[in-house]
Amino acid sequence: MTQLLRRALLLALGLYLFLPILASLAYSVATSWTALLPEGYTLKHWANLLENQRFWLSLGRTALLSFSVVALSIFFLVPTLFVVRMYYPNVAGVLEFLTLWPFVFPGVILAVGLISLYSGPPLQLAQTPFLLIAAVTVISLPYAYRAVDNAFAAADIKTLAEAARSLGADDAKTLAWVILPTVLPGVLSGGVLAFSAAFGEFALTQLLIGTLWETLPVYQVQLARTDGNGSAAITVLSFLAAWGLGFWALSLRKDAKVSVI
Amino acid sequence: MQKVGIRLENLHKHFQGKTAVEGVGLEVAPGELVSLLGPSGCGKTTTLRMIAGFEQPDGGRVYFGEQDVTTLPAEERRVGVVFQSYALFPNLSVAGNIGFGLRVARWSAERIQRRVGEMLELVGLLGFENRPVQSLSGGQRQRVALARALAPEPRVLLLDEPLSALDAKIRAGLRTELRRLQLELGITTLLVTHDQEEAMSMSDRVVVMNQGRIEQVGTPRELYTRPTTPFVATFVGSMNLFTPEKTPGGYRISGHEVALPVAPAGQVGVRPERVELNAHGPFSGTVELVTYLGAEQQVLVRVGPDLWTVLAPNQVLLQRGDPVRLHVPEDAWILV
Repeated sequence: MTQLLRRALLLALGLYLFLPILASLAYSVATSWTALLPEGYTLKHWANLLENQRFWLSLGRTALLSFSVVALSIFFLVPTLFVVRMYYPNVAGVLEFLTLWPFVFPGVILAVGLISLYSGPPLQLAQTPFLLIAAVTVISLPYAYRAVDNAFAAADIKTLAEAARSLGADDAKTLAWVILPTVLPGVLSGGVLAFSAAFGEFALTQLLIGTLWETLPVYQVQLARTDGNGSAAITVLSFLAAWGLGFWALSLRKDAKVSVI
Repeated sequence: MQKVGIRLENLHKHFQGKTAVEGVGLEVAPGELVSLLGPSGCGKTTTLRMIAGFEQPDGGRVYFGEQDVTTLPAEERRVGVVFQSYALFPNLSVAGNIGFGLRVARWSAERIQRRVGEMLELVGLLGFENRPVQSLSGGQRQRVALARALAPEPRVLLLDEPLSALDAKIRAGLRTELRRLQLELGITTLLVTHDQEEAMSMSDRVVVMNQGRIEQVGTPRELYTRPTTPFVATFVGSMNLFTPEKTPGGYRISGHEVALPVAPAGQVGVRPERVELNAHGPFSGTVELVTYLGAEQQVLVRVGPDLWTVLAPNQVLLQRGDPVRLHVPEDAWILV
């Protein structure tokens, strides 16, 4: 392959990835855009968006949803993986298979099933944020699982826990003083992945709760019908947030490589 | 430090239908260092893990002194364990690692600091308190692991292949130091190793294990000079081992008639260093390979159907193809 061709490939990939974002950014500050380039530029759409209470409320709900999902994921994953790696290593394969299931189920099936299950007693949770948080936690689990499981695998948790136990630490102290600090970088990077997955969740949210408890992606879709420029501004904001979190997660991974062993 | 011995009674352990340990019984006297020696998969590590409380035996009992600890959880046994992989806590400093067991036992900060200092001095790492464990060499890490295990004054010390991950040179140094410390503290110690040199050089007694069972227990000298099974004879040191044929006048070994001091029940062997190059020896053979070892040379000699290993002095110049005659003193034959 010639050097030219290699560079052309890289350039094509770069354009494919970045052009839509650049276009969104341009659209969010365009007065009107019918030709190749916008006719003029303005910050009006951004100002409108930032003054809109509906935007801030939906952003708040999305933040609440995402943080709850991260907290729940970590709360379920860390002790479970600890117990599995320590006492039931044979179950690890089953667990991994189970965490892939949310990928297999289309969101519609999940939503319809959840709504019909939780529409009546004993747990009347349909159309409440609680059901949404629980459901989004489940579909975000695969992302967090990978990162946390890798952290457990890299640190030889079993031997570390045995060392702690031989020094008199019971399971709770072992978990709190040894295991958790050791896998923390992996847990945080898994948390960031779960956060991103929950932050951008649309399909399930729309079906489960829709505008009753409007999250940022749902609001964005609503907004796109009336104000495309404002919607583009949200896109840019979301990307910036995702990048920031992503770079942070990557830096945690790098630290983890040094501190583990 | 209270001195207790370890007593194992008829220990059994199976993993998914596979037998790991089968009927192991052993008594380790207070203050004694006993090695479990054997190839990988012989059950030595599983035995150590049952003593530590990491595995629950399927049958049999474990005693520390008079106390039955068979069902006692690991965290209540007061054992010190040193692992092959060091298993230092990566989030803690050297001092944090050594003081871990003391913190768990709720010692005061001041007492912990004093004890950590003592332990650092004991293992020769004074001044390393605040270093992160990642910055240490393998030998230093294992010293920290030893200090961490000893700090809470355990009743017994369990060493699981503690030197296997280290370079040969550091291994030899640490081996001597470990033994010196153990004698100084007088702590009952069980060492698991696959390295017969390590077991022989460090132990009061060695337990040779094979396929989940104990083959032989004895002092290093007993094991070397009086092995009771062919497995021990070949696993501990090297051995020329033969199955003798009965003849009217005596026995035939490697196609040559020899007189044996005692009638053998099974096989007979001779250590390479007890075989002599002697022009009047009864065994005639041909040199196949000469390996120079510095202090001596190892010579492989083809005698009839067998290949003999002979350790010979360096002064004798030998080449591949040279005819040689071998002599075995009568007391050098070992019956197994």
